[in-house]
Amino acid sequence: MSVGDHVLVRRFRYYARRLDAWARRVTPVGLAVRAVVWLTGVAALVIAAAPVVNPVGGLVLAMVLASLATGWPGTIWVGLLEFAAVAALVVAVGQGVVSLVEVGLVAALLYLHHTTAALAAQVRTDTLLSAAVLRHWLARAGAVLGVSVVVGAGIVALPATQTDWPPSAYILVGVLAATAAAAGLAYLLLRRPESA
Amino acid sequence: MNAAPAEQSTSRPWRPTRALRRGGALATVPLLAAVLIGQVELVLLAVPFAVGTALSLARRPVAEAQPSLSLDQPTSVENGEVSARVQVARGDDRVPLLCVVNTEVSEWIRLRHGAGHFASLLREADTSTVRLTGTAKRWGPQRIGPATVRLSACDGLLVAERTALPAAPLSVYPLTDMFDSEEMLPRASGVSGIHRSRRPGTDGELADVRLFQVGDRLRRINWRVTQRTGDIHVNSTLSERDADVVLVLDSRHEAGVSGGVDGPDSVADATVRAAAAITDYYTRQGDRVALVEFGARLRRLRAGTGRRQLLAALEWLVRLDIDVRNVGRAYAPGGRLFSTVLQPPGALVVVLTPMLDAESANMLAVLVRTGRSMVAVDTLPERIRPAYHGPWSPAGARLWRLERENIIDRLRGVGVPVEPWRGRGSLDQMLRHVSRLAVTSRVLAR
Repeated sequence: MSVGDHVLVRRFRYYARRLDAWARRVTPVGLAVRAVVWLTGVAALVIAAAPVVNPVGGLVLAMVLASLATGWPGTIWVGLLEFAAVAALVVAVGQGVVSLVEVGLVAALLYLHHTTAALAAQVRTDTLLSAAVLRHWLARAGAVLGVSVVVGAGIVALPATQTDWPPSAYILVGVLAATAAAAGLAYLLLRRPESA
Repeated sequence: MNAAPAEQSTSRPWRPTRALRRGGALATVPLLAAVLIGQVELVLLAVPFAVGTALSLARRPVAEAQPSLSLDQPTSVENGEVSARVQVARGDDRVPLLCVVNTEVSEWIRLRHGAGHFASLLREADTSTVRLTGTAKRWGPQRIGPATVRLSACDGLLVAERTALPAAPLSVYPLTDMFDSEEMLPRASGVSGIHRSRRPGTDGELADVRLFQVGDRLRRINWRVTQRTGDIHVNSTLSERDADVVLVLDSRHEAGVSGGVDGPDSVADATVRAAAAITDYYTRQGDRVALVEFGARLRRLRAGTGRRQLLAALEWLVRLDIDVRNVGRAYAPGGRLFSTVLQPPGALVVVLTPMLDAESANMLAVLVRTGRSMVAVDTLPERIRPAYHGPWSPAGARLWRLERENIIDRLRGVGVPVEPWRGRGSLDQMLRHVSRLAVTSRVLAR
């Protein structure tokens, strides 16, 4: 039996052919969407985890998780990356080693990662996207981030103006806000839509 | 004209995606963390997720979407435009939908964006449309589809079940070029037309100058000959009639690999394109053209004329099925059975055959012996090569070609004009043979 007939060689050829076929089908826009998923995922996790973990280890973890999320954007890997970033940021904020700007930056990056992954889960790398899809996605992401900046600024500024509140009031407001957010989203999802 | 939509599949309700669950969780978990550790900065993490999810869900799709696949035109020609559309009917809903269409097409349909997944945004109410355009590269029964359609709404937070749409059939006609010729047909018949018949008549082409007879019209007197000879002579003309043409397509053998309209021809390509060009030419002239398949099915398209007959012939040609598996053992209808479909007996018979076996040559020889006016068009492409390669292949192929040339020469010897088909320019050469047949039959008639 020659080397070319070995099962590993045949298997390697098979995957090489599949890779070649994929490379022929892939579209630049499909790749760009995945690239955004990867870049925002890595950036968010690196910035969030840098103050609390080894930088090299954090970078490797970020790249591995981001690669998995990019390859399978409709699976649990996207959520794992985002929750890892949130957990790292919670620890960093608790230790007081991260600034407000960094929190805002991570929030923006995580949202971009989330919404791009939601788009990438619907389209494959060889999908030809019309320009209207990308325009709509960009406009919506920009609008969400713009509204979030305004809302976030108001939330951050609120405690500074109400310094005479007791700590329990902040806890109550926070719990109420979390409950309201969850209830509001559940209502939006479960309500019976009316005719336009 | 809009083709009828392909069979419709059922619609599915919308269901949340993993992205929606993720967005909801990321909108609440940071808020709880902020409360637990007393850090308001963490609220910032939740804000874009809460805002984004709320904005997306604020406008949910109202109606269930019902996609369908249809063709703009159910027919096309080689190198012609092919256009299909996926229509998504959804009532008065104006919520933007992301529509991902995955279409399969026949081998000879080239979609402009390529076969595969195509995503577009649907905004309009009632019925939104995704257009799929491309080019047909070869004649035959083609199809666009089957296709799968996946719809998502609310920026990927809600998704409908994947819908499978059946294929839309498309008839691609062979390409026929405009052609013009002055050659005449051997046996014109009927009551009107443009060919010179053997019968005298008025207002036709000059046939003879003869002595005046009682009943001849004065305006037909040839004064020049009358003055020269001293006797009254009149011009005699032949009436103009249309003709019957029967095209016989040898559908028993396929050889060669088709490259579509821009590539090399196979036997089927050459046969169908030649038949389409000849039919186009004669039906345009007003002649009656019938088509017959020399093969197992012995299909026949009855004689007709004009554009309607041309379209019927093209549709008939699209269904020509040459079975490549039967090479060497294809069924040939018997002479008596075959002659019953070659009506009327006085029609010009044009046989399109690759002459790949003795049955084809026998059929030609029998036809010419029965006294029919006929022309054979050799549809074997010039650059065809044997399918198998070995050390003896070149010598074998050369021997086979010599044998085939020998058969063709013998057919010519018994009076079968054989003209190889080399594209649409061959039609003039073929018609020259037809014209010679006409002269021969006039001489025999005298």
